Amino acid sequence: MFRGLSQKVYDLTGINVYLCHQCGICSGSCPLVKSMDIPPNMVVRMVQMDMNEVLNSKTIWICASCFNCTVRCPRNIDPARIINALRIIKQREGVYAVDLRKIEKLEELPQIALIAASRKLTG
Amino acid sequence: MNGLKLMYFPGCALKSTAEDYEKTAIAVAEKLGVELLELERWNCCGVVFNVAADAVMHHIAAVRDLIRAQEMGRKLNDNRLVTICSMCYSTLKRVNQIVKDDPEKLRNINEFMDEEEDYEGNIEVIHLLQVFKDLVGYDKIKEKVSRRMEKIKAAPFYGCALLRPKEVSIDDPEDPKIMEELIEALGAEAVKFPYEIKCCSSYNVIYDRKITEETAAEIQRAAERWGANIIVTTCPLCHYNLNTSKRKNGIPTIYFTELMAYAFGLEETLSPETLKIFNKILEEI
Amino acid sequence: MQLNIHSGENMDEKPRIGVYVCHCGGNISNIIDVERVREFAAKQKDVVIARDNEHVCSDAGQKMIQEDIKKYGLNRIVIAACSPKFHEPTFMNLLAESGLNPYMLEMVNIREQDSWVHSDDPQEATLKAMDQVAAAIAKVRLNKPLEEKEVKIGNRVLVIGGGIAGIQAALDLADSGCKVIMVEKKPTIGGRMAQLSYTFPTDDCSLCIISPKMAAVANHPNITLLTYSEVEEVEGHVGNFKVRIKVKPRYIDMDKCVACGLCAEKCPVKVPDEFNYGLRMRKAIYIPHEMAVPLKYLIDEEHCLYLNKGICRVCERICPQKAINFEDKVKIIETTVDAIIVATGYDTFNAETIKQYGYGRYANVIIAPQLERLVMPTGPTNGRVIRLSDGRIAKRIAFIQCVGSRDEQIGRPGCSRVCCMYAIKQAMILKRQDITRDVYIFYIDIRAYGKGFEEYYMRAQELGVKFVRGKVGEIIEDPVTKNVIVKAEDTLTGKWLEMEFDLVVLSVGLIPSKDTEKIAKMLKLNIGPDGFLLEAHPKYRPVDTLREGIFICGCAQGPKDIADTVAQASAAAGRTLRLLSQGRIKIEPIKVFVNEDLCNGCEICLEKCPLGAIGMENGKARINEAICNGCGSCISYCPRNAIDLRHYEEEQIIEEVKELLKSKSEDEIRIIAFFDDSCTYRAADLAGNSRINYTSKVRIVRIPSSSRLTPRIILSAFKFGADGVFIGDCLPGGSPYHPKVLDVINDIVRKSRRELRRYRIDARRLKFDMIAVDTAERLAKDLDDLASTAERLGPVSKSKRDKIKI
Repeated sequence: MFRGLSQKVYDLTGINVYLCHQCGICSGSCPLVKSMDIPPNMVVRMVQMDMNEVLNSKTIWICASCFNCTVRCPRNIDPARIINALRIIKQREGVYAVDLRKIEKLEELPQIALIAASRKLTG
Repeated sequence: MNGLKLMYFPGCALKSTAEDYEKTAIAVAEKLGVELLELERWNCCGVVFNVAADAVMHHIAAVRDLIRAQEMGRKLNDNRLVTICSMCYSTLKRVNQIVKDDPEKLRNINEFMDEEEDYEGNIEVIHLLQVFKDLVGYDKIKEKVSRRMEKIKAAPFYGCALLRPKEVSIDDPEDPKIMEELIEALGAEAVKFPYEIKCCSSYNVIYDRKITEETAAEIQRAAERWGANIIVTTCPLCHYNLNTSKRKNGIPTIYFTELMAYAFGLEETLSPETLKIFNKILEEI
Repeated sequence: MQLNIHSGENMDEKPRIGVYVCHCGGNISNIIDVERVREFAAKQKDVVIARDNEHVCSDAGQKMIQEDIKKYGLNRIVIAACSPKFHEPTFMNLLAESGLNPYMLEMVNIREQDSWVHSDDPQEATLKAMDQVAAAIAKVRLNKPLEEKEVKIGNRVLVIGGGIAGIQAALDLADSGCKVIMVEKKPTIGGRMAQLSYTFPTDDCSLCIISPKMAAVANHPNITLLTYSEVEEVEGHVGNFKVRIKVKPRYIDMDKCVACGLCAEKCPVKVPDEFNYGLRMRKAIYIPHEMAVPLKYLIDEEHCLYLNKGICRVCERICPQKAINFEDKVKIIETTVDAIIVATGYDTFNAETIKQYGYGRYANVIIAPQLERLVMPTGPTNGRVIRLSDGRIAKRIAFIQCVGSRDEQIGRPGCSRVCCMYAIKQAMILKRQDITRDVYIFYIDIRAYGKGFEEYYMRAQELGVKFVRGKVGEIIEDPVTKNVIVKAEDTLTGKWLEMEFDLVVLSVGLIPSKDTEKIAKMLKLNIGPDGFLLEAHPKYRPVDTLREGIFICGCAQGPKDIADTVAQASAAAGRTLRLLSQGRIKIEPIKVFVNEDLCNGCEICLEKCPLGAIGMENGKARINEAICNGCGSCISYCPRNAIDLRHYEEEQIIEEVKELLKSKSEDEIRIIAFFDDSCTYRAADLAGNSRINYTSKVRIVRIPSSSRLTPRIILSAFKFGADGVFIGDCLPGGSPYHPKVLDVINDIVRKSRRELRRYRIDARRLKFDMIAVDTAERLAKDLDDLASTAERLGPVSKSKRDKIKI
């Protein structure tokens, strides 16, 4: 049905990204949007337009899957999943966003952070 | 509800960096007549739920825990698995949901783990907050309070794992009340503030610590502006992240069970640092 | 056109059939051997004469038929030509003029559904034409003469709802001489329009333009106005609706009250004023507003101290006219009307359910209807737009669009149509009051579709209203200043925004008014998925309903602005006048009927009829023909086969099917296709027009709706030689019948498949598909696919066929 990046995202998540009409509520609700280089709604737009450069953004690593966007999206799409899918695409290519050997303050970090990091930020 | 025995899932953090959480949780539950029994032979739940539609391997750790619960649940004749760490709650509950909704996936996982018994999908994952609300009741909690708590203005911080996505939420994701009600039952003042449902920024503390520090600062500032003198949380990661804020005299963050332990007069279960926090608040006012 | 009503034709009279095969100027005769068809027809039993002709529909052709009827004493006519959708009415008239009952005609479609779609196989096309003619002859043999009944109808109309829609419709009807009863739930008419400030795009004062109409309604000799009243029950049908109306007690003598207001001054009870959305208080004895019609006070029985606790009575003592009457009671009015117009309007979405916007919790978050009241010089704050937290004038205001609309999270995906324009209007009012104000509108799209709307939007931009394209994520209130902080993304620059405002206005969407569901049940009307009343057809019957004599208009049918509401109200009045103007209405005879000998009074048909057209009389089911519209849903559920559909009786259809399959040989396959008249038949005609070829193995039976089929009919098809059966009917919303017929058809298909399995016949041979009028390719593909399936599975064996019991 689709091509390129939008098809890959569909295969991973079952989401039809073209349902997004760019209202921007996901970005308006995101607690981490201030630290992102591309806001969530624009990430979805870039997937719609099959712009592969979105895979090089910082956003897909910063997103913490808090699902604030998902519970408010008026088209019921789930932007968090879409961003996660992009991350998974990168991970399956073998890209690591973080080097687990070089983590500071290892002793005091709760395990959750480490495991989450290794799950989300590495392959 | 005397003598209620429930199995609980501790998770990695509770056994190391968040020992206080576990200690106070068990002590407080005991005081309320609930005996929390550690799940036998549990393993790390694997945290973060993988959202890819074809993900199977990532769920295996969680399913194995559910199988352990199934085994232990038979002995206790009770299929409820209590979680204390919110992330474990979220992961276990979501995996449980997914394998219940997709029998094909469950079959694959069961076949893969051929040395284990099959998971039949009948475990109910609940959070300690729900135990206190539904199985114990706030009246009983009020009874056990032995200390005057009005000076404590606690802002609840839910984070994301307990409230989202909607399918696993323990309360209304935009307007939750469960922690406020508990705080009020303890006699303290609950300070509801709009950032209580925000995200602490999770593992960004590893990716880019600055993001976490800024987020924590923002949340602390808001809690203070709304009049809180302490933040109360359910998740070891939120606890850690909120305490990374470099603001001078920023209000501290503690676990909700520590608040309960203090209210019940169980000082011996609290760490010296936590006790200091309480004393400081009561002094200053 | 005079239609002779033919009565009491002797059914024992022997059929004398005339068959006419048209060449259609080559359109038919180029492919089909019309000679051969004519010869075949002439040989059939009861056929007295068979002719072929270049153009049967021409003057000459018609004359030929008329003369034959006289000369040969014909009493039934079969015409094999183009689609009956063209000339059926013409030929029915022809029969009537020749002294025959117009229903003694059968048309065979051998152009759109034969020569134009089987041009690749003239042999088969001719064979098919012969089979279809044989079937038509078999049916027309059993056709019974039918009469259109005429029923006298008066000109009494009930208008439910006293807003601008009801008012407009009532005035149009009353001016045309109809007797109108208007029932309005609230103590005054004027509806929502009376609560508005100004109206876009002309910025007229809303109350100013509706007041003259309100007065006209009150003074019109042909209108009986019942305010503070509700319709309780409606029974009956067009021309004879029996209505029961409850008039609630005002506890005021309407003749004596002069609206001086002394009572309200002294009344000790304060209640939030509904007209002002709680921004002001009123007393328990009150008048809705200064321009109310009728201009009379009333006592709110929920809050009055005397009516609840037996104390006070100050108003009674003080009223100089002695108009207070605590003995007032509910009055019931029972009356009969000929037609009903429903104009029950809208409510606004309850923004409290969207917690992240803080309405109901934060003082300085209001909804747009409240702002309408705030800007009115006669409003609760004398036109000063203030912050509700501290009463200071608001200088920085934000509008948030699409609150309660276009939102899957709350189950309201539809657009409310007017919010973009009313927000622009309100923004401009704020700017005109004080040009230095900061006014922002946070939107997803700006929908300025109407006449003058885009220009209005430009004026707002000229005034400096700032438009930000980004739906607001959440609103936070500062606990100290009570200012409200809006968080959104400016999607056009990609920048996140956190902006502080004095006041936030939520542009709430329109929802059906509270009692819409109750009214719909009472009148047996359909409701759409969005909760609004459903029109008969969204394009060409926008103010009709599927119940004859009941019309809808205004926001009860869906969100719209005042201009569209007034247009629809006049449309509904027009449709009503069309119905009533002749003083009589014709009831088309194609309805179901009950064979009382077979009926055992089990009442199953009563609940299965989607229109409630069946009642009981003397222990037998009785059809109310004024309500029945001939869908036949009741038929397949009757355990005694006691109900049937006139002109399309079960035995007739089975005879048709038998004839269609007679010519088939053992190793051939045949598909019997049932086409519903509204959609599938039209789609098949379209296939013909577009020259889309499909399998010539198909034989067609035309029926009004597939809901009249039964498992017996379907099994007969297989018994008499079909190797596949296709059923086509409309998509949801496309049917002129009730949407429930789709469930009925699914039941019939399910039961039929069960029966087929019993006889070990592959259930895949039965296919049902929903066809829209414009999906000719889909229909062709369905038929081709079914034919391939039948080829693959092979013809049904004779032994299996013989076992079928029908």
